[in-house]
Amino acid sequence: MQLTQHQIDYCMECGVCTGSCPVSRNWSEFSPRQIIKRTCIENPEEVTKRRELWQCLSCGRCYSRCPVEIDFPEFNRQQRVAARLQGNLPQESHHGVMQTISLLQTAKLTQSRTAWARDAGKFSDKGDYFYFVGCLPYFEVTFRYLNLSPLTSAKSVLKILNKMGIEPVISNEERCCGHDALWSGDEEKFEKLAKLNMEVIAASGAKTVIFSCPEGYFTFKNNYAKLFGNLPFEVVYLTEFLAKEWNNANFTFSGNGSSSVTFHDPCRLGRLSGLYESPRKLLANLPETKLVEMERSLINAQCCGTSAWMECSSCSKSTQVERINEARDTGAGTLITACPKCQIHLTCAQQGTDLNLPVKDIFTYLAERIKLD
Amino acid sequence: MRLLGIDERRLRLKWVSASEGALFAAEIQSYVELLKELGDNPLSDAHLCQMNPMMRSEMQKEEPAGA
Amino acid sequence: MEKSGAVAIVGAGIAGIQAALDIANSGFRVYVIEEKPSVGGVMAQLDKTFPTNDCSSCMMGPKLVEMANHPNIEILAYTDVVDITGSPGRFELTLKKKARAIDPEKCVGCGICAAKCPTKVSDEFNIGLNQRKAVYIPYPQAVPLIYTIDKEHCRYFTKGKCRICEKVCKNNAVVFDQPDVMETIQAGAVILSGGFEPFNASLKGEYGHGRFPNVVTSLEYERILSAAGPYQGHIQRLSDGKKPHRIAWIQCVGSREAHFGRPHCSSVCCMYATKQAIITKEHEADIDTTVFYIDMRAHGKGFERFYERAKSQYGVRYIRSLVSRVVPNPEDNTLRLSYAPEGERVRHEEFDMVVLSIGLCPNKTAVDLAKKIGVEVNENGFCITDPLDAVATSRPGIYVCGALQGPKDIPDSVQQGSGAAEKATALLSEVRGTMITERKLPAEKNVAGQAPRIGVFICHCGINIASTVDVKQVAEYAATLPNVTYATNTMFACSTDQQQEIKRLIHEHNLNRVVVASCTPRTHEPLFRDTLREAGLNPYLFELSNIREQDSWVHQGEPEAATQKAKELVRMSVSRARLLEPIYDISYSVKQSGLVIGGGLAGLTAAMAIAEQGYEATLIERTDTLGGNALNLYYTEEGASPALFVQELIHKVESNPLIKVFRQTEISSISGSCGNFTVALSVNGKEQQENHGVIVVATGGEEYKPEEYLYGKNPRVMTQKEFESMLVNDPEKTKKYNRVAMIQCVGSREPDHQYCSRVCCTSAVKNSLKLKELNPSAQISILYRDIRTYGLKETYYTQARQQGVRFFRFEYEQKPKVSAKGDCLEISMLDAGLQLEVNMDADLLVLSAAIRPKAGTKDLSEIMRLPRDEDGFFMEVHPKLRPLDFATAGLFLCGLAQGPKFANEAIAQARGAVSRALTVLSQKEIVSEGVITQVDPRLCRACGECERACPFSAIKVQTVGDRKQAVVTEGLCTGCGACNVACPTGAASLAHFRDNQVHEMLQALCA
Repeated sequence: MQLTQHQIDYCMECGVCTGSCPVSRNWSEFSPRQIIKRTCIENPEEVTKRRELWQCLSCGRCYSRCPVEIDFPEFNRQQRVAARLQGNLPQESHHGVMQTISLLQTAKLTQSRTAWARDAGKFSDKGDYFYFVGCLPYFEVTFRYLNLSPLTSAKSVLKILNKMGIEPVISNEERCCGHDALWSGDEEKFEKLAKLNMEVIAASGAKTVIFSCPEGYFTFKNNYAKLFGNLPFEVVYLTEFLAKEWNNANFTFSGNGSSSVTFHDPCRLGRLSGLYESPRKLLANLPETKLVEMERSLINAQCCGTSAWMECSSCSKSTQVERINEARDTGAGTLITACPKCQIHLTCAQQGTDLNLPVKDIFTYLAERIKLD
Repeated sequence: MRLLGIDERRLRLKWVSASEGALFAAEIQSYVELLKELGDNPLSDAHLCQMNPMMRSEMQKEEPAGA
Repeated sequence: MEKSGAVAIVGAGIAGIQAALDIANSGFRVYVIEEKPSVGGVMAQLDKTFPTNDCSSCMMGPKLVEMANHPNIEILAYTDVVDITGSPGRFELTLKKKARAIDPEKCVGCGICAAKCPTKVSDEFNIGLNQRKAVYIPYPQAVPLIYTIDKEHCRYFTKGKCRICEKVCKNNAVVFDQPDVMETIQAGAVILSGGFEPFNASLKGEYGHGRFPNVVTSLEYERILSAAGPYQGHIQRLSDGKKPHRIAWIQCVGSREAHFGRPHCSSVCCMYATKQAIITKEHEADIDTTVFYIDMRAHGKGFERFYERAKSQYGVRYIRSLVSRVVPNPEDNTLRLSYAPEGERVRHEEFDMVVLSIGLCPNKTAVDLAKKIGVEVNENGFCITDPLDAVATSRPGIYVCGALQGPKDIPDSVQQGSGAAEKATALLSEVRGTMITERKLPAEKNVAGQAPRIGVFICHCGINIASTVDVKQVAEYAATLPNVTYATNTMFACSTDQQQEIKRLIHEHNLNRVVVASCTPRTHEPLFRDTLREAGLNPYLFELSNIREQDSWVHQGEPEAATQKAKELVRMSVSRARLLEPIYDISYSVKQSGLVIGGGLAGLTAAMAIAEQGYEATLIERTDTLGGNALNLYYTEEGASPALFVQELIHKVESNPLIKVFRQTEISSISGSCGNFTVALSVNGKEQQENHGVIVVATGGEEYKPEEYLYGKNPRVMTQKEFESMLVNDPEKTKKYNRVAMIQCVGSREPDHQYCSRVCCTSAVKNSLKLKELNPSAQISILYRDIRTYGLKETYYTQARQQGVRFFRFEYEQKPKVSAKGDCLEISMLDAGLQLEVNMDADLLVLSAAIRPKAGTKDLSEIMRLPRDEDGFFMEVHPKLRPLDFATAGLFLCGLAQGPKFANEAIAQARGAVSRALTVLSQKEIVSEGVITQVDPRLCRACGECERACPFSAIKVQTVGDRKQAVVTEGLCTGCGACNVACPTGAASLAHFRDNQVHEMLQALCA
């Protein structure tokens, strides 16, 4: 949504945005309120020269609380598009490897990214349901050093779907959904990726595309729709799908001991998409699992601290440590996430500290407790 | 590289000390032969996106003679 | 009367240059006096140097330039020393500054006079292989870069005609009636480093030098091999210019020769011939190389391996026989050599070219001067020095170093230069700093916020670049690149006059970045950075593009592609130059004391030298006794006594108020960096901490305990050290031994210890002579592979033979066999010369056992993170030009810890190491390069990946205020960038090599 000068003018300078912002808590010079105000006064070229543009996590807390509903994340994103053209670029993390991978995916290449699935279950190249795996095969390589296996989530998803009698399409041609490109102001890259993904899904004949990553879900649901008009397929996040189909699935459970868990709402699933209930319902369906909520959950959940593989910093670390401590305070033994990036960030932050809270993906957790054979 | 479908042989890692000039030359020569066999870079159209947009427009403006 | 705070150095070869730099960098003024028009000595004429095969002028270049730019050094070239009077602390030198007939203030070295001069003269720098003009500079990179008129050949001076040079010189620098000027200077100490002249090979008429065109001396061959020489590095015969296919080297021409009064060995010829043969093979793999020799003297560090590689990897052929006759074939000028290989009849073989390995004779003017001023010289002209103090001449306050003291190679010359420097400055320690000038620099311009204005200079490097790359085209291309304000090509970007030009252009065009496209940053980056600073620009706004080593030199056959590549390299450098930022070096204070590790001869000498210089020293020794190996080194071949000397030295050290001695002490750990090391010592088991500015490692070596030849199993078998003890402590018993055999190279020159222990041949000879003193009729047989009594020690070998000691040679593959026979020993061997079995009985067998690094060297190297070479000795940063320094700043080494050597060499080396250490200690503050990693605290997550990646322990996660973050210890950071790669957020970023700068270069390349 292109914010007009008029809409920015709505700002009452109440300060709720800045007070709610996780970045502001660490770096007081980052102030959404002041950024909005400056845009009203300063020259556009001056505004887009600033580095702060890149520090916003687009978590949406400010937007969700703003009395006049100013969409600050989107406003900031548009500034980023202009900033890029001026040579104002973000500090990419991990030497820009994730950005490079998605860049390479804009070219004609034939990926080889389904080997993990062959051992895990059955899938095909045509069908009604398309499982959009996202970046998990690449995360598996780049985050090995954290002793994480992001593909475990994908394997769990496949096993659960198979158990439900679904052989989803899993494609070698899938590209990054383009979420990061979009949110870092690179609309050209986003559009290239989006076009290729649409071709891939069309070729499979799928009517429903299932996501286990909230960012993929959010991007397809909102941005692909904006770009391509009404999408010729349904876009659904897996917890929604499972919650709906639970009774038909007739799952039985393998006892894995009683477990007390807490749940971290990913920004793109919770606050920005409004999907809070389905993950909770799934956890409640499991015997021997007790969910304890963190102090700030549902719409108030705090972001995991890093966005779009850029600007990772001491502020991100501080935000992550705060969230982990909040999780520990619940007394739960495991922190459950529903987003691969939240899992990675909250795990990485514990390195070099004596925090020791296991962070588990929800689908992996489910697959451990449902009889799948 | 495997995931992206890029032939792994396009990456080579070799330890050569500064006094092993002949070894370096032989290695580069054999690598160039291999690369010629493997053919053109299949991803060559992707790189322009990555360049600093300001630089990119500069470079595109002046195509120096013989470059 | 107060002492003078200046030192005069007579002779500017590599030894003199090293001495000059050490002295100038430790607070004294230096006068460097050189009789030739420019400095550099013979090293400037060499192509490559052994055993690393580095290019000689590339290694020496930076030292010459440092000398030329040094505010404390005054170079007086083309100047003779007429007399030296006075006494230590106050000498007066009478100098004759010879008239070049060119005004040095006006000459810019442009070369137009030489271009127009009609007179051609034999070029002595190229040993007459080509010609120069009557007005000339010896070689293009000469320092000082001032032309000289050769009055013996100039038409004006000989016939009163011509004067063309005067007409064409734009600066009116030609002054025909310029007189010689007599001048006197004062100096507190004098160092004689006049070097050597090559032996006149035509004196050996049978080899035909001067008569047969394809017989050349080794120095002529160096010029032939050199890419800057008369044939641009194309090996060709002088008779017809064709490539030779078979080249022979004849060793010992003018050495080991009683005939010409040259009984000594020249030390370097075996190695330089090997080097020349290897380089020949590298130039043209199909040239056959043969070396005719008597003994192969590979006694220095790395030499034995070099020799073995020559044989196995390059196929150089070695024949153990000198050549008796050289007969030329008048039709094709090939040469027929006659020689008598071992065990065979006389053979004749044809060669296309013959190289005579000529010996080293002391420089005649240097010898004349020495005699004039009362410095004693031996019958060959080498300065006579104290047997244990190799740099002290017979006249106090006047020291000697380099080949003038005795034939030696470059590392030994460099070490001795530092050793002489230390003696000179010890004499003058109380007047340190009284005669130095501070460098005045203009204020640095602030270029922040300015658009880049880049100046680009494309260097011809004479023919090195220009013969392959179209330099002018590259300069024209550079001018089209964005932000390039000025671009040009230049003959020699590194020359002194070009530095002035760059400064001028910086001012004229208001440049705020400079790119030079030339050779490697290793040679001249500091020079160009200094030039920028002198022009008021931050030195890090400079970028050097290597279009020589990485372009013209490796693509010689493809000039078009090479020119294209040069353009791309320049484009890359220009794109980086846009993003360069000013960087400020960091200065920090120096703790004015030194730690010496090891209380043997070298360690004691070093501690004493530090104290003599006026600084505090701590000496630590692992055992409870000082003195080390010297305690039972009773006599040298010259009759000195290291054992007595070291006892006196121990006494002096222990009673010196500036020195603390800790026995039973080891190092537990070390931290900090140059100027400020924190060392944790374990003194008798108790922990103690000390702070020092510099550390000298002198941990020593030990004699190998043989496992072969029945050692340890039979009481009649002992090592040389044990034999020496017996000779001194129990002469009555020892003289009863009538038949003594010695076996050389025990534990040395083996595949897993491929080095020579240097001292054993001389040891065997000296102990044989000692035994002969006690028992003149003793039968002594020395079984050897090569006799390596190098340099002036050769005369002792001659003496031993004269006294009837017999020498039997064996090959490595047929080592002698030793067995007990009754109550004596039987030794059987295959004599290589006769190819016959020889059996001998012996009452005593003495093994010349190798020198090994001291036990515990490996552990210490791990605690202190110091490198060791393949044989376990400590590794210096460069075996040729920095033999006393470790790669880590502030750490130095000397003595057996560095490698096998003689007592007097260990002493000289220890002094040399202290001289090097003084370049740090003499300053209250030192400056370290600002190219180190900087941590952006905002981006740092304290994850610790950087700490895990750093090989120098230079970056660690620490608590800073209320947070943890990575912190860099500036003195330890070498700017390697490993932490940058490990850091996931980009918090660790190397100044001057930022990600965006590297990224821009790659983008420019791929554009």
